[in-house]
Amino acid sequence: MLSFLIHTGLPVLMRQSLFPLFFLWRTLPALRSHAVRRVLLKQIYFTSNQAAYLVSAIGFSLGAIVVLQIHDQYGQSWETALRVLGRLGLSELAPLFGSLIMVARSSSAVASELVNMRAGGEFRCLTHHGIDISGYLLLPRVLGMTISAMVLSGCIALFSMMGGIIFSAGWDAGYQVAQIERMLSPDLILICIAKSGMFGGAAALLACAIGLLTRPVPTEIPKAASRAVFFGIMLLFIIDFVWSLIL
Amino acid sequence: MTFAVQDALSVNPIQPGRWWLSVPRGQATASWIDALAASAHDQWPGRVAVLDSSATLISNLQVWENLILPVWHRENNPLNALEERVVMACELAGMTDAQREKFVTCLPAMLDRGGRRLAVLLRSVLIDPDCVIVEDEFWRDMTSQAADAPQVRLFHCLQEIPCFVVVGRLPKSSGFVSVDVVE
Repeated sequence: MLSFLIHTGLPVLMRQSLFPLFFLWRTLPALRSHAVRRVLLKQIYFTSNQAAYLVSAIGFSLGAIVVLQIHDQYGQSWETALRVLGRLGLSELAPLFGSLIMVARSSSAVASELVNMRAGGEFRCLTHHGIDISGYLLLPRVLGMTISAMVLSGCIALFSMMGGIIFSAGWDAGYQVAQIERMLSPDLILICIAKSGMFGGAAALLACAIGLLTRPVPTEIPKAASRAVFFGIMLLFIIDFVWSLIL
Repeated sequence: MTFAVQDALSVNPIQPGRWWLSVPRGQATASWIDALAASAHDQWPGRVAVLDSSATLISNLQVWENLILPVWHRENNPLNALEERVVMACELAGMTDAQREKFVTCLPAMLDRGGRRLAVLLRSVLIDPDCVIVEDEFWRDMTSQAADAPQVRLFHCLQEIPCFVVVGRLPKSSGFVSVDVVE
């Protein structure tokens, strides 16, 4: 990572290229524009809607695996297994898996798209028309990926509970669904939303930063895509580790 | 260009008139176009059209989205109102309904150089600009083509704009006021 930072001449590039990211919050009024909202909705569609089936299947399997392992390997009751799943799923598994899948699918796309646009002179073209790069390109991507991470994590949490309930209760699943408030609590749901939002926002900012820092030549586009995924996954685990230490 | 563009030129071209900025050897024409466009946006926000030789379009948007993007971003109009303006601009270029449908629904990667230039000209007409900045290569190609070509028809419309600036290294054409870079 250090060689990448030195190779790209980070100190100079940070001033020149990352400037739009530092003050991204100032571009929030850009969301009043239909054109910007269209980019945001497209980002949410491609990042979360198209991945929803995949994360639902993963969540369902994950719930079933966790419940079966806790019951079979550790001899806990089905109810205890479901409670563990509820706590573990919402506080750790759902935000982490949801964000990992989002990084694997979308970070590479965002980084390579930005490098490609710079290489093709599209940033310059937008500037020529008085369109702010931060407001039109970066803000919708960062917001879209943040929202998508929350949606995907929610899907994983929901489907993991479904998987756990179906595999533990079988035909009596209705009873367990009625008792769901014993497994879930509002603070756990808030942790899931906050954590996944933080993961998504951080991964999106990193993908945009890599897209802005990489030299705008065609040979660098695949490298930018792979860096965005690699460093994105690393960043998620670092944030999760720090979160665990603090909270 | 970090300095005020007017200070570096013998005359400020960002005002009504027909200007020809001769870029000295060793300086990039693109940098001068960028600086002039930024300066023009300060004066006429969102009402500046830039016609550079690369004829750049946003690659992940269809042609119709590219055509309306600057004006949509500036005016925040509903899409159906903009659609009418696209139809009118295409009629101005002499395109039939079938040609227009085929043209506006494709992606920029499917267009050749002429198609991209046509799209850039349509986009410029839709902006309804107060200032047009043209790279000399684009100017040369437009003035050397037959007058009934769709691109040339649109280019003639844009030449009526009060502030018209040509930037590049070609010798100045008649009808323009020369602008020099102050050493």
